[in-house]
Amino acid sequence: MKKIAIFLLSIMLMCSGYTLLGCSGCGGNDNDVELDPDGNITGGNVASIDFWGWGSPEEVEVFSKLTEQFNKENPQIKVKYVQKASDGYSSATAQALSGRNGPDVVYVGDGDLKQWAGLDLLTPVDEYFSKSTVLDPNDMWASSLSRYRYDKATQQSRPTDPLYAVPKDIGPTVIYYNATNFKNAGIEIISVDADKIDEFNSANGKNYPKRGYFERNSSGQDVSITSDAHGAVKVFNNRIPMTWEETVKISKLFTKSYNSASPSDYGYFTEWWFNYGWSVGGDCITFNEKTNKWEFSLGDPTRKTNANGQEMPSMLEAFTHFISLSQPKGKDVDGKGTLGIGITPSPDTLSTVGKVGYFTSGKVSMMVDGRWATVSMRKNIKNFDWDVAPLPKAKNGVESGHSGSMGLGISSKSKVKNAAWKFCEFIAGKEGQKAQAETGFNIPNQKSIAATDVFLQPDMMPKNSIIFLRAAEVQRPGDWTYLPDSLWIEKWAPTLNDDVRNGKINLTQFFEKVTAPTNKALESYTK
Amino acid sequence: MITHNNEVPILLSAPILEHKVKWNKEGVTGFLLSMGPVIGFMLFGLIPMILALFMSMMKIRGYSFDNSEFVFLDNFKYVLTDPLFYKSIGNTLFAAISMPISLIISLLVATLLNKGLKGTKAFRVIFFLPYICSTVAITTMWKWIFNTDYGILNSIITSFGGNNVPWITDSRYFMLSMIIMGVWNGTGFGIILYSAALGNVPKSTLEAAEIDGAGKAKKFFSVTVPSISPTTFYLVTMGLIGALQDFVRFQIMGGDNGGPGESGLTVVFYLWRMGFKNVLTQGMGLASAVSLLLAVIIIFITVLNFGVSRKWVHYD
Repeated sequence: MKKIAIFLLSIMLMCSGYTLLGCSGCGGNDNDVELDPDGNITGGNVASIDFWGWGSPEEVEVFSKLTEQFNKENPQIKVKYVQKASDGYSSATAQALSGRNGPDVVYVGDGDLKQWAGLDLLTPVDEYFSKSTVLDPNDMWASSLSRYRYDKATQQSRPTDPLYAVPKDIGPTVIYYNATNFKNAGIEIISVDADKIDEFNSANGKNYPKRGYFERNSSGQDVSITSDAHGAVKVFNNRIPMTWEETVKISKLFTKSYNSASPSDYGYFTEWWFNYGWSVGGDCITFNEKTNKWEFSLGDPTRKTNANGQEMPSMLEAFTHFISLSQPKGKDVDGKGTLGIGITPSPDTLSTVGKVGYFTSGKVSMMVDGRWATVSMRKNIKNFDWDVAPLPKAKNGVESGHSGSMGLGISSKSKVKNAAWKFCEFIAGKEGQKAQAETGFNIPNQKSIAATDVFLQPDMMPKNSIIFLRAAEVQRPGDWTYLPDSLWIEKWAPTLNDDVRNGKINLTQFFEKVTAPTNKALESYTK
Repeated sequence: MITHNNEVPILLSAPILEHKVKWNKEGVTGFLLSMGPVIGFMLFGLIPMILALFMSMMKIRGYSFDNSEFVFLDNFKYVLTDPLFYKSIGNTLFAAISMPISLIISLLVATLLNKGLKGTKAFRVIFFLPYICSTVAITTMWKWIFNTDYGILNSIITSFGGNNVPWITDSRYFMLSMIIMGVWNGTGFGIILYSAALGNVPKSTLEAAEIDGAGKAKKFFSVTVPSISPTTFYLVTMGLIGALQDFVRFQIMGGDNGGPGESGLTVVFYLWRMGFKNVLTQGMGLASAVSLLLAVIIIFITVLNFGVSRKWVHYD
């Protein structure tokens, strides 16, 4: 009995000691590979690294194969790929990274970067990156790299600030359109860049303007873009961004409330204000240098001028236009007489089918989404042709929009940072990027690979994939990357996405409700 | 002071204090076996509670105490002046409506099952299954049931000529959906306990009531319901505590934002968002303050429940 008692006691002591000490000895690995000044492995011990990621089955399969390949090519490094659930990945990984036995390499969402860097969970990789012979910063999309730079002190992301992750990919947003519906409605679809329109016109005996969409009557005169009447000639150029008005005009053809013969319920769907606001030089928050505070500026009525001195709509006007798209035709959108257009389904209408389901089932003829939707489109669209076009912009505004991205970061507590970097470099390098590009999910981080058939995949839809590359050049990260966490977004975005977009309150009521709480929350970021 | 039958007071004096504990085999074994739960409680109950108390008075950045500062009651002030805190309490209490509904259904079903009908055992197992299933699995299943276009619930509604209801994508219906799910999920446990309690209702009392001329309804409400009141009390107490801590199913059903328009933001969800999502601006200090306020609310409701129970719970 005594022996049993001593045994039990020992087990309990071990358990409690193990827990209290946080398993200080396990999982850690002092063995790391050695790198020469050029970043090549020259010696050291065999290093084991844990790599956490998530994704669709296709992505998981690609990464399993890449990990296997890396392990074969680098016998001194053993990578263990751990697939995590996408739900709760961010908070679970942050907690794991703050512990002693967390992973060595992790997916870092662009929205998590500032928080994780601010918490010292990630290792700055500038030194590795600058020495790399595999990764060329000049060949990478500027916005994909800049979103992983951050200075904790200034809370900014400038080109010289520390780099905390290397971009795994970039996913710009575009318009997906139902080409079959367009053709059936008598719309001629052309793919001609603005600088080649003259050449196209002379070669084809046409007189087409440099516009994304236009209509002409049978006598060749332009049909007013703001009227509900339609012309006999309708031309859609999927290489030139439509203006807001042109987008509304073409959408009315495919919206039942305007055209009872429309094959789809709605003409257009978007849920992001980014390309509207940014197109006119606005934003949801702006930093006031005088007060040293961030201010909520979604309702800023100041009109700015573009590079040619032309006046553009204000941020408030851009935002009001965005909201009016989803409000029923004729409804007062802002309590000041701006009427709803009703070409976009509200979130309630869209419901759990989701926007991609709405588009693939033919209920909406145009939909704004990122490159990541392409895989689903290819898989689920069987009965119509589809393609992509650039996002709309304000008449005198600039082409804009947001892109998503995922990076690869190294834990600040990793004891095998050299080995971890070699793996990041491999995934972000040519081989890793080619393998990912083949899935069609995202755009490679390197322009030289993105511009090849590996990504463009001319034998597959969408045919106009080149649009993604142009979008990657001009688009930037979404508002979730602005500040280290989402406290300030929680004060207004849920109200926008439910009460406003579903038409329960108008814009005046929205601003009255959220402006003060958002500004109060924004104070937390400058204390 | 302890008194004996002969009413001579026996003081806890020298003879008892001098009694030495004998570390025989039985004593050592008993001591060791009792240490398991004690250590467990200390590690996972007491120490975290004390830690939460300290943390609630600190501004903590991230998941460590580095750069944290003592702010005394500022975290409590912040929470108590945040309208979202009260919204989360309102949401939690509203969701708790599922508890009394599932109690009534449990009692009705248990009464039917106690009639000795054929297949009673199978029905008990079927009714109990949701209780032992994973919350994640159940919530995912309900997510499909509530799907606006493909969900079975809307298929039934539309087959009767109704329109699709946006159950979980519209803030007006989100909480109703959660209550429906909560009722379904919570009924099984109540049925099992009520079945056992109904079997213990004294037959002699029921017979006496019958002789006195009591009808079925009178017997049920005047004999059966008071007899099973300790079970009802247990279910109410545990159900309320559980309801006030509801979180996982809301997160799965409504995502990290707490459902459309934060209509599913419960107190624990609010706490989680502070501690794990807005780690830099809000953080564990505020989350700890919310957890203590929640503990106070739970204690208050439980004490109130115990106080009121004297009037309606019968242990005889």
